[in-house]
Amino acid sequence: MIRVNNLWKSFRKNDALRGLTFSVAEGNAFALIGANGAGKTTTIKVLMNIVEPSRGEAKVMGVDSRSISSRELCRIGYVSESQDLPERLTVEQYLDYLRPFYPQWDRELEAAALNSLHLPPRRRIGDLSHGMRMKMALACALPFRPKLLVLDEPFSGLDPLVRDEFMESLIQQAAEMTVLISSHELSEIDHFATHVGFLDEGRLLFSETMADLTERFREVRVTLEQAASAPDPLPSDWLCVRAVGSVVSFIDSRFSEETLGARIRSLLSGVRSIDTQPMALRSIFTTLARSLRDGMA
Amino acid sequence: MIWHIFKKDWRLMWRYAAGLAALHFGLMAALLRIGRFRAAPLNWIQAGGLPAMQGDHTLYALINVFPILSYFASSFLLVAIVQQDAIPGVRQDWLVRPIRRRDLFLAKLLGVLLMVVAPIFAADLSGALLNGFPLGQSLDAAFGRSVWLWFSLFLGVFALASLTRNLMETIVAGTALAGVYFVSQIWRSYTPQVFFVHGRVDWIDRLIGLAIILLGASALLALQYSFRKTFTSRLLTVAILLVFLLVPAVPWQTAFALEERLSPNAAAGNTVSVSFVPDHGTSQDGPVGPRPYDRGDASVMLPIRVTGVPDGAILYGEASTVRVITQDGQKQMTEERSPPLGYQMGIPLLRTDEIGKSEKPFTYALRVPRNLYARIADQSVRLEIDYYLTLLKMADAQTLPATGGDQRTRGLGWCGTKISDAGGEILVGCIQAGPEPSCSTAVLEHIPTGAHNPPVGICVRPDYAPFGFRYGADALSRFTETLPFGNPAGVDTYPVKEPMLPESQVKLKMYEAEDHFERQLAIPQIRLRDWAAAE
Amino acid sequence: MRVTLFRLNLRPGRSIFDQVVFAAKRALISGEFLSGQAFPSVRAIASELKIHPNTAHKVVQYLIQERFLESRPGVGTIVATLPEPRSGDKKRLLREEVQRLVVEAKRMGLRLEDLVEAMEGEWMSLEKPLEVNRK
Repeated sequence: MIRVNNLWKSFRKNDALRGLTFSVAEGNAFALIGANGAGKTTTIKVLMNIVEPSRGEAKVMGVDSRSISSRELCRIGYVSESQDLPERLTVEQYLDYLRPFYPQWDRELEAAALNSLHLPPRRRIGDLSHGMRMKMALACALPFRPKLLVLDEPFSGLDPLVRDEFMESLIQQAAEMTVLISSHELSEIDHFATHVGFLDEGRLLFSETMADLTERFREVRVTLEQAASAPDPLPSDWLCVRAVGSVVSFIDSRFSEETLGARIRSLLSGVRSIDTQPMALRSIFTTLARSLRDGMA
Repeated sequence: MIWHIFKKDWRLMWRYAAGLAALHFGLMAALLRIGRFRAAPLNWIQAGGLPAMQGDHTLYALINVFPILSYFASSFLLVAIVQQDAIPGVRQDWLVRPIRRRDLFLAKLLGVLLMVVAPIFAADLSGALLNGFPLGQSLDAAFGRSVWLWFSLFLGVFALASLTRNLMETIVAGTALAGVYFVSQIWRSYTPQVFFVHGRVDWIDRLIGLAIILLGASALLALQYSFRKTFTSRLLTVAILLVFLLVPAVPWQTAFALEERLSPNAAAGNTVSVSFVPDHGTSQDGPVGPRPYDRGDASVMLPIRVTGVPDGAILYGEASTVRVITQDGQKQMTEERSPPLGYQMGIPLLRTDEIGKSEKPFTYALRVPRNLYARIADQSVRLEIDYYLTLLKMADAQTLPATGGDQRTRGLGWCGTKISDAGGEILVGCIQAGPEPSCSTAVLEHIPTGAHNPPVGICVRPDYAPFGFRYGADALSRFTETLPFGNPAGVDTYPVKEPMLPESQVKLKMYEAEDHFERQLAIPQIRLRDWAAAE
Repeated sequence: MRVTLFRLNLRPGRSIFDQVVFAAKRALISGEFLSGQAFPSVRAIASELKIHPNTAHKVVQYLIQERFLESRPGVGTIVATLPEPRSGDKKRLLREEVQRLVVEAKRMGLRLEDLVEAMEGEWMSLEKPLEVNRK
């Protein structure tokens, strides 16, 4: 569905994307995560042909992003918080405007979306609260049964109830779509995303299934008989290593149940107990972000 | 889809369009009330300077300020319509919707035509009809103005709106472009090629300018709507501006040659001939030609006669070129008198109507630089003068009583006469649907005695443009003439005086170019010293 | 329509599919659903738990395969008549809690006898009232 190959994008002197390569297969729910300014929004804007790549290519539905025409766009939904909409039209009027452009528009789906998202059809777009605007953006993207749904930071500034409503509507149709979502609200998409890509300063650090990712990260606490000290040499895949009291704690980014015990014992002496905990996506992200910032990787 | 997108824009903008339409119609109604005897709106643009604030201040604002405001307001509305779905930028919703660019462009075009141009057209048409002009002429005038405004203003604004994100950016860009243009005009006015000469053949230059705008704007719109290449388009805009500013004016000879081709009646001037009449002494009237620049320069006075100007016609001297050639074939000097040296053409304005005789010779003054004169003054030299001439024939005439006159003709329009508020003069005021006559004369005549005051004419610069190019307040032209009359108690010398007015009439005449042609005058042998003016 | 689903807190790090299947089995075995009752639809499960519908679909398919659920055309998915669960199955479902308890006990240095004693005490005190407070 999406295929990005060695994508570069520069704005004046700044390289926003550096040689990005990844792909999203049909039916996946791909989460693009990364710190602010990592290039998530830029990637999405290139895919949607809002900006053009400087080098490399991005293909959406088999078509180069620069050649995307109404033929592809009528099957692509896009939700972003910073869209300029005609503020003086009502929700209803705007939907009336969009409907004829999409051959697949389903009026029942439209009514259902308005209903489940609790959107007031007669209110002007300019009078909508931020949360309602986002919900409306979703309501404008679902009724035509898009094959690809692209969401750029859809949860920013939304209260928990609105987030729930948003995710519910999204999940209703997720089985028929491929979803690309970039978000900071990792707890919302933790269980929903099937794939994850981590962007750091325009480069993709990894792209793998959610299952694989959560499988290989563990919080490890090693209790020693004596005072703890960091092992030397420090394995590169052990992040945020800390030694306090008699406990050495770290994040193992290449966890393997069979080998961890042996590894620890080979590097530390006097091991009394080893305790491992799986990590939520949010924690994985903060760990990676912190270690990148501290210069380790 | 085009109509669908237009409907959306209509829904968002119709209030502004209606307000603007009200402004246009209001202006039309106000001008209707003002009538024929005030100065033409926005006349000062052509005249090249702001008018003095006098009389009724509301009136002043109305005819001089509101039309400008309406141009700005129309432009702003145009920009707003186009920028509902702006081209540059990354946040517009239409970018991610399956909207075809072609449909978007045509919808915007439709929106602009219906919401910005159509109200102007309607107001112009109504104004012309309410002033009593026939439907055909009114449609012509209104359509002509809409077309002119489209090509000279709105198309450019449309292109500019497609390059910018919002109204503010458009205003900045427009101001910058206009600024460069005006600065260049000021710079240009210090060089021999003056641009603001109105009338005669400068319509060719204007047409070329419009063609540049048309091609440029079309290219920009295509670039933006098809490819969304804003940076390239902005560069192209600067290039277009440079081309527009730097394209030289059409050389005089070429322009006149074109006019000769376009003469409505190519045989009309055949009877006209120009000859050197050495037997005639120096005439009473002043010579035609420039004064010597340097004290030592010589002025050679040559009696010239023009014959064969048909009755009731005006012969207009456009330009002349003089060549002095010595016997060995060397061209010693060439002097060209062409626009903008307006009144120094080398031939006076000649007319044959019952007033004045055209076959009287006049004196052509040739200025010879001092060094050259010292060398060749006593030689026998050959003198050649090329004349570029236009024959204007009377196209329309009206005879109105001196006061309270009211008449309507095709060529002059709807004219009237009255005594001016200040007294001492007759005011002739005309309204025409379409461009005003560029060459007309008015004479105040006392019927029983045949006495008449000197004619008043505005035929200094006739305009040969096949169509009207004007920024006015509407599709009508208004022009006035003032004819002073004598005061019996005063010391003036007007033959027609106030008590004679009830038995007097005003004769209006309008002239149109019939034929453009050249004549060459050759004097095979002449000794310059024989004809030099005394110092 | 809001359907009350089985009790489940999705934990990080583990296959979502496994967790949901586990929780569903638990609910079915402990009799939270009556035989013949309509089981929540794939959409409802995905929506409530905020998981991908494909995962929810796989869960339901698996439960049908394991004969916990039956697919009736025109009606949907209903809870099958379940055989009386053996104690071995039930013990398996409690495995995680038992594991945690044992690990904690060992960490604190408790002996097996102490642990059993603590459990017996807790069991007795809960025999009478039926409410359970969980943290």
